Amino acid sequence: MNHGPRRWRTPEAPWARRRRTLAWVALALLVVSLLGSWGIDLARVLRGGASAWDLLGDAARPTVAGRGRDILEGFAQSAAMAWLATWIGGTVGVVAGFASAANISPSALRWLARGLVVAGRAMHEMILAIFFVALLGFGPLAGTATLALASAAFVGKLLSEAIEEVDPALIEASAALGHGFWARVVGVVLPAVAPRVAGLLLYRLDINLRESAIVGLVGAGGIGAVLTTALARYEWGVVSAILGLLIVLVLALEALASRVRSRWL
Amino acid sequence: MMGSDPNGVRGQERPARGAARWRSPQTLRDRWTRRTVWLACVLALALSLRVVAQTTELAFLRDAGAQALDLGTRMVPPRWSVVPAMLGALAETVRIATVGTVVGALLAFPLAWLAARTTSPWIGARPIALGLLAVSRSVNSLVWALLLVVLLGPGPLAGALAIALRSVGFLGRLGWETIEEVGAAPSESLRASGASWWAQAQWGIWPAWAPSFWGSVVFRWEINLRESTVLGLVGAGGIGVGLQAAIDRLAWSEVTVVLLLILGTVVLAEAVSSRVREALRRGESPAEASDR
Repeated sequence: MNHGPRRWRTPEAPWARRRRTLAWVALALLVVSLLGSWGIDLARVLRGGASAWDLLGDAARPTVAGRGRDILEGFAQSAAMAWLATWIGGTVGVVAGFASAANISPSALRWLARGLVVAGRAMHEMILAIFFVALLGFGPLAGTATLALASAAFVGKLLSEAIEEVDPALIEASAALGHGFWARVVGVVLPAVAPRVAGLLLYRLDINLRESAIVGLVGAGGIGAVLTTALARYEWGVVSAILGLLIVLVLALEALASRVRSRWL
Repeated sequence: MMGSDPNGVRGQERPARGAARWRSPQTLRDRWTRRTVWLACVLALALSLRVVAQTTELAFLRDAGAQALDLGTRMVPPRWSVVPAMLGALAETVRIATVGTVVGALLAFPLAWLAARTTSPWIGARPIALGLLAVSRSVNSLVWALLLVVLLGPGPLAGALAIALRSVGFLGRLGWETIEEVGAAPSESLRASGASWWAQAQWGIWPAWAPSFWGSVVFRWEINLRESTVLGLVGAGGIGVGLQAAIDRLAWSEVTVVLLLILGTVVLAEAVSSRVREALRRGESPAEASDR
C-alpha cells in the first residue's frame, strides 16, 4: 500500500541534489586522475619499504649522540628568533593593521599598507627566508627578519579586519567630541581591539616557533639547520629526537597560551 | 588589559589640573603579576637579541643595501619566456594542495570523532587521537615532506602526503572542538527514539558540524596552496622545483616570474576561499557556493 519513499529526507530544491552529486563526482575524478598521473612506482615503494624499516628502527631510538650542544644551540636560536620576530613583527603589524583599516585610515595610505600585507602573506616564509639570507647572510638574523615580516603581514591583515568591526558608534562619538586622529586611535580604537591584538600575538608566537624549525633549511638559522644536517647524514635517531623535542615545545607553548587566554583575555 | 578601561574613554568630566588620572582598580597581586610578566618579556627579549647577535656577521650586514640593489637589478626585467614551462609546475602545485587537503580531510574525520568527549567510543581512544592530532599539527608540512621524500622518493606524491599529514591535525582539532560544542543532546534524543548509531551520527551531529567542517576544509586548502609552493625546495614537486632550479642557476630574472605566478595564484585562491566561506556562513551548501 505504502509505496512512497521509505526514509524521510530533508526537503531541498530539485537541482541541489544534482549539483551536489556533480561536485562530488568532479572531486573524485580529480583525485583519481591525479593519483594516476603521478604514476606511483610500486617497485620504488617496495624497494623503499626495506629502508623505511631501517629508518623507523633507528628513529624509534631517539638519541642526541654527541650533537647535544648543536641541538641545544639550535633550539635557543629558534626560540630567540620566534620571540624577537613576534615583538618586532607584532609592532609593525599593529601599525600596518591601523593603516589598512577602512574606517580610520585615509585611502592612499590604506592601499599602500594593504599591498604590503598582501605581498607579505602570499609569499611563504621559505621564499622570504631565501631573500633575507641573500641580503643579510646566513644565520638567525635572516630568520628573525623573515619571521618578523611574515608576522607583520599576518597581524596586519587580521587586525585590520578586527578594527573594521569596531562599533562605528564609538568612532562617531569620538569624532563628535572633537577628538583628533591620534586621540581616536589611541583612546577609542586601540582599547577596543587590545584583547584581539594580544590574542593574535600569542597565536603568532606559536606559528613562529613552528616556522623557525624550517627556515633553517635555507640557511636562516635555528633548529632547522641542525635538522637538515642530521637528515643529510641519515642520523634518524637524532632526527626523531629533534622532532620529539619540537613537538613537546610546541605543545607546551600551546598549553601556556591557552592558560593566558582563559586567564587574561 | 593594556589600560582598556571603558571609563577612561567616556570622560564626562575633565579631571582637575594636577589630579591623578583615573585608573581601573586592581589588586596588589594583579599589579605584581603584571610587572613580573612584563619584566620576563623584556628579559627574554634581551636574551634573544644576544643569541641572534652572537652569530651575526657585521660584514654581511653592512653591504645588505648594496646586495638588495644588486639583486633588484638582476630580477628585472622578468624573463617572461619561462611562463609556459612554469604553468605546468603551477598546476601541479594546485593538484598537490587539493589532493593533500582531500586526503587530510578524510583522515581527520575519524580522528575528530575519536577525540571529541561526546563521541569518543572508549576511554583510551581520546588520548591516542589527541596525541596523533598534536603530532600532525606540531610538525611543519616541509618537515613531513623531507621525511616522505626519503621514504617514497622525490615527487608530487610525497608532497601531497606531506600536505595531508599536516592538514589532519588542523582539521581534526577544529573538528573535535565543534563536535563537543554541538553537544550530546541531539544524538541522545535520537537514541531515545530508537535511532541507530549511524543515524545518530548523521542526524544528531553532522548537520551541526557540516558548515564549520566545510569552512575549515576550504580555509585549509588555501593555506595548503601557499605551503605547496615551497614543497619543491625539498624535492616534493610543484612550482617550488622550478624556483629552486632558478635560484641554483642564479637566474634571478626567472625567480621574478615564479614569484609573480605564485603571488597571482595565492591571491586568486584567497579570493575563491573567502567567497566560498562567506557563502557557507550564509548557510548555503558548498556545492552551490562553488558554483559561483
